Amino acid sequence: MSHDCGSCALNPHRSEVVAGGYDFVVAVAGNPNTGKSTVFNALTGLRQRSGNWPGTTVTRAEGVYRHQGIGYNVVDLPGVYSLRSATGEEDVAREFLENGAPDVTVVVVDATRLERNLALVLQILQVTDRVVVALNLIDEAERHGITVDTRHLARELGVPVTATAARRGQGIPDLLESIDLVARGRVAPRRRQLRLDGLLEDDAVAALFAESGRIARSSITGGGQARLTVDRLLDRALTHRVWGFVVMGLLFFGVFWFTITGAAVPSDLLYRLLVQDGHALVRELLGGAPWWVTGLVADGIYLGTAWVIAVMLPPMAIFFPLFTLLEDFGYLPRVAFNLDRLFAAAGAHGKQSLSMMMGYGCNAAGVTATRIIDSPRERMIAIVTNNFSICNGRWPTLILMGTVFIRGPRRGRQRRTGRRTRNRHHPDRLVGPVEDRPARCDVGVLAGTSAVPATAGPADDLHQRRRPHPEGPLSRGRDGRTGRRGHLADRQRHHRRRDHRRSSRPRPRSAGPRTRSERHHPAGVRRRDPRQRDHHPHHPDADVDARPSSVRRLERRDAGTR
Amino acid sequence: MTLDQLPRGAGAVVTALDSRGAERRRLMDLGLLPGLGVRADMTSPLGDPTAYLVCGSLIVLRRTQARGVHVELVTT
Repeated sequence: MSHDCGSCALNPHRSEVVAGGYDFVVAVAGNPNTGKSTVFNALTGLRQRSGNWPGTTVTRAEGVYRHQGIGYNVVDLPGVYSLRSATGEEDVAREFLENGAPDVTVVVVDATRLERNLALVLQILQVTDRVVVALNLIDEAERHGITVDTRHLARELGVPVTATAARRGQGIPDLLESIDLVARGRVAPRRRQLRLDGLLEDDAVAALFAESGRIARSSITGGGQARLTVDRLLDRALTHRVWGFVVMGLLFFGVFWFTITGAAVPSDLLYRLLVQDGHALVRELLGGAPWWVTGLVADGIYLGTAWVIAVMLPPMAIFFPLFTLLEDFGYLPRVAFNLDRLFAAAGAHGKQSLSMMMGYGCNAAGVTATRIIDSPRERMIAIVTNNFSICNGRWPTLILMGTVFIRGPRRGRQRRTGRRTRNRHHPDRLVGPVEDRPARCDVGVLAGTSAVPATAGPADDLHQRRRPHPEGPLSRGRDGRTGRRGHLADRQRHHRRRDHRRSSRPRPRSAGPRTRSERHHPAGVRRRDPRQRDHHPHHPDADVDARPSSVRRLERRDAGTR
Repeated sequence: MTLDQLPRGAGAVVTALDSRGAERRRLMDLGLLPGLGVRADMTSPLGDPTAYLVCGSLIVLRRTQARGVHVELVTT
C-alpha cells in the first residue's frame, strides 16, 4: 500500500483554513456515540473533543476544509436518537437540520447498530434529501463478523452510503467525494418518502422502526450474535458483585497513585525552578523598580502564576490522560452502572460518578462533564456536589486550612521550624517556609510535596507555653478577683486540673516532681492529694463530711426544698 | 409481565409502554417499541439498574423505569 501524504485525506495541512468563506455547509448528524466528532475531525483536521460515551458534543462545533477547490463549512451536531425529542441538545441538532438548511447532511451511522441508527436516517430523510450516510465503525462491525452491503443500503435509502472507520481514516476520501457529489448536485438522491403524516406519534415511530428493521436485516449478513463473547465475559467481570468493585477500587487507586507519585517529582522540580530560583531572578531583574512594582509583578503576578503551574500542572497532565484511557476502554459507563443504586439513594444519577471523578482532576471539567446526565434535577445535583470532589488545585489550600484549625497527629513536642522571618521580601513570607518541614498530611503529596505551607504549631503548643496575662490588669478571674492575681489563680487551677487529668496512673513519689504543679506545690504542702479519689471533694465516693462547706450547704438547701 | 420481572438472559417482546412524556419518547427512540425484542443482559452488582439488549445495544434502565414497559416472554 503506497502512502501519498500530499493528497491523503488525513493530512491536516490539506484542509487549509478557507479565509474567504465557504461554498457549502455540511452538517454532521447521527445517533450519540457513533463517532460524529471523529468523522468531523477527520474531515477538517481539527481536534474537536470526542469521547467514548454519549453526549460529548453538546453545542455545535464548526470547522472548514477545502476539497478540489471548494470550501466546505462543517458543523458537528450533538448526537440525537430522533428528531422528535425536544430535550436540550437534541434541539440544537433538530433546529439546525430543519432551519439551518445545510447543503449536505452527513449522517454518521454505527455499523454495528444499524437498525436503531437507520431510524434516524429515515427521519432525517423526511426533512432533507441531500444526505450522505457514513457507515462508521465498519472496523468494529468486521470484528463482530458483520458485513454490510453498502450498495444495497444505498439503493434502499436512495442516498450515497460510504463505509468509514474514521478513527483510522479509512474511507474518508470516499466520504469527501460523496459529499462533493451531493453538494454540487452531481447525484440526485432519490428521496424515499415514508408515509408518516396522519399517523399518531406512536404509530409513526413504530412504522419508522419497522422500516429501518427491514432495511437493516436485508443489508446485513452475519453477526448473529449481537455481542462478542470476550465483551460479555469482560462485562461480567467488571460488573461482578465482588470483582466489579475490586477492579473499580484498584483502578481508582491506580489512577490516583500514578497521579500523586508521578506528579511529585516534576512538581518539585517546577517549584524549585519557578518559585525558588525564578522568583529571585525576577526580583533581581526588577532591582531598580519601586517597591510597588516589584510587589505587584514579582511577588504577586509572577509568584502566583508560578506556584499554580508548579502545583497544578503535573498532576493534571497525568490525571487526565489516565482518565481518557479509562474512557476509551469504555470502562466508565460500567462504573456508573455499578454505582447507580448508591447514587439513586441520594436522588442522584450513577453517571455522576464520572463527573465527580473528573472533579478530582479539575472541577471545571467535572461540572462540564455533568451534561451527560439527562434529567435536569439530577444534573443540578451533580453540578452542586461536584464541589466535594477536591481538585488538584484545592488540595494544598484545604490542607493548609486543615492544619490551622484541626490538630495534626501528635508527635511529642513539635519542631518549631515555621518561624517567621523578619525579611518581608523573603519568598518564605509568601508561600510559607516549606523545605525544612515534612508535609504533615501525606495527601499533600498530591500537589507536590513542597506545596504545604507551614502553619502555627498545633493548638496544644499554645497551652504549654507560658501564657501572658491576656487582657491587662482589669480582667476578672473566675473567683471574681481582678488583675494579675485573678489571672494567676485561673492558670493555677488550670494546671492543677490538667495535671490531675494527666496523672491517671499512680506513680511513686520517689520519682520526683513530674508536673508543673508538683514542682510548685511539693507533696508536703498539699492538703489533699488529688490523685486519691476518696479525698477528692467532688468525687461521688468521697466522704460527705470531707466536702467543702459550700457543697454541704447546697445539699442541705436542696433537701429542704424537697 | 413488566420488564423488571424479566429473568436474566431471557428474551421478550415489548407489548406496551406505560411511561409518558419525555421518558416515553426517549424509550421509544431507543427502540423499546411494541413489537420489538428485548433481552435482559445483566444486572448491576448492587441489584438495581439492569442492562437490556435492545436493537443491538445495551440500554440500562432503573427498576422504576422498567416497570413501565410491558413485555411478553419469548420462549427460545
